[in-house]
Amino acid sequence: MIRLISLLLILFIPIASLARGVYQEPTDFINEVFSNEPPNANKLWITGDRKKVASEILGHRPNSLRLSYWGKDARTTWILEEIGKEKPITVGIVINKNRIERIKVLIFLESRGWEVRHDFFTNQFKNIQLQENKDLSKHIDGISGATLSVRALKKLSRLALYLHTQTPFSHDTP
Amino acid sequence: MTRHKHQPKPLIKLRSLYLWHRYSGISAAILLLILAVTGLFLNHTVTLKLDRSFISNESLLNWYDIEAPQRTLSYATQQHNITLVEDKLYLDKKSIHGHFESLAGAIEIQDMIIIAIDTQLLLFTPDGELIERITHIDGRRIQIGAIGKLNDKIVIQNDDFLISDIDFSTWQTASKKNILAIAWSYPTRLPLALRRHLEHDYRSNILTTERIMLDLHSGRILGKYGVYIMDAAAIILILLALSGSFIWLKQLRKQRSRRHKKTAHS
Repeated sequence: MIRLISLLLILFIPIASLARGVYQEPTDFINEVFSNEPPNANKLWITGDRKKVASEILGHRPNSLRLSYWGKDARTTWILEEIGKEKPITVGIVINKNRIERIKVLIFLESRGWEVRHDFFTNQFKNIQLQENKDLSKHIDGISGATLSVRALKKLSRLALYLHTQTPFSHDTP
Repeated sequence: MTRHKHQPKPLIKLRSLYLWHRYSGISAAILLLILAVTGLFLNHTVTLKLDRSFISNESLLNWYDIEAPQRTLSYATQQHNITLVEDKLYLDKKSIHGHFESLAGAIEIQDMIIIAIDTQLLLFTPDGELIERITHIDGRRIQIGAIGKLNDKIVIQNDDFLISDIDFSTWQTASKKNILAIAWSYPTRLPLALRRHLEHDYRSNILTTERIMLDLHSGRILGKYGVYIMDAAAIILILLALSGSFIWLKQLRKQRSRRHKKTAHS
């Protein structure tokens, strides 16, 4: 009887509600990226031409005029947010030598499209760089039922790659 | 004895039925129009964004008993008023996107307005454009009790009294001497005109056009009697459909009998 009740409970708990939430605190992600010795946060103003390019990439005006990022040698780490359908998806993106080193979904509050957090999807972004037309250098395979989340992650990765070029850390690239 | 004297009297006189049909049709026309128009709108709620457009008409808001907000908390900087109306935050008259539980204070430094919500600092330009949202200090989530100024530096009461410059890059604990010199942000009374404006704006963001359309469609806009009126309209429409069909059938039969007589006569 208990087994039956447990089975029914498992069947009736929506998988989506289990998948939503905070997977990793942004601060923990930054600590992990810099082996627990994160540099001080830098600030980048999103004004003028930067604002124009960021708006083109996002398809709307950026949410804020100033962004924090963490940089060391030729690496920068960005914590960016974008609405998937209705709620923000928070993503941590590491850029190294103008290429994506790592992308991770940190907070996901949407009711659908949470599959984008899995490695099989985020691994596709590794080593991708930004082309002159501000597109990604490689095609990203989508996930059916997660179109808007996939789109949000692609936008954010393009934005992070662009913003990296606007920091002094991009010039450290040999 | 003529033949027609033996003809049975019709149960319902066609002329009286026709008149009833006409007058009830006219009387139900307005209600039918309301039903049809609101039905069309409701069929396209999402496309027309009726669920996202709000009614600001004072009479309608009063009709729906939408009351002024209970909670209003305001802080004034040198040139601006920052106000929390229930869960909505305003910079002067501009509404700031989002839902806010509380407001701990606000200060203004070098053309930057810094608003302290209990778990975040919001930095705005004087035009109300968000510069940055700060949620962590030294890797820890912030919990702000109060915000103040010390010369050109920002002070927040977290677990401790923390001081930072405008870049928010480094935070230091304030000394006892400094704590006494802090100009804290205290709640202030809103100017009456602004208060009225914000209250009206708050009320204008509750009642959706979709709600009005639904209530017009069902008649609920007039309370329970409105529903009865719409019920009556629906019954009249049913009767109209029946009486219309009946009249048409009767006339059809009449025409056929006339035609039949004509052919017999000829």
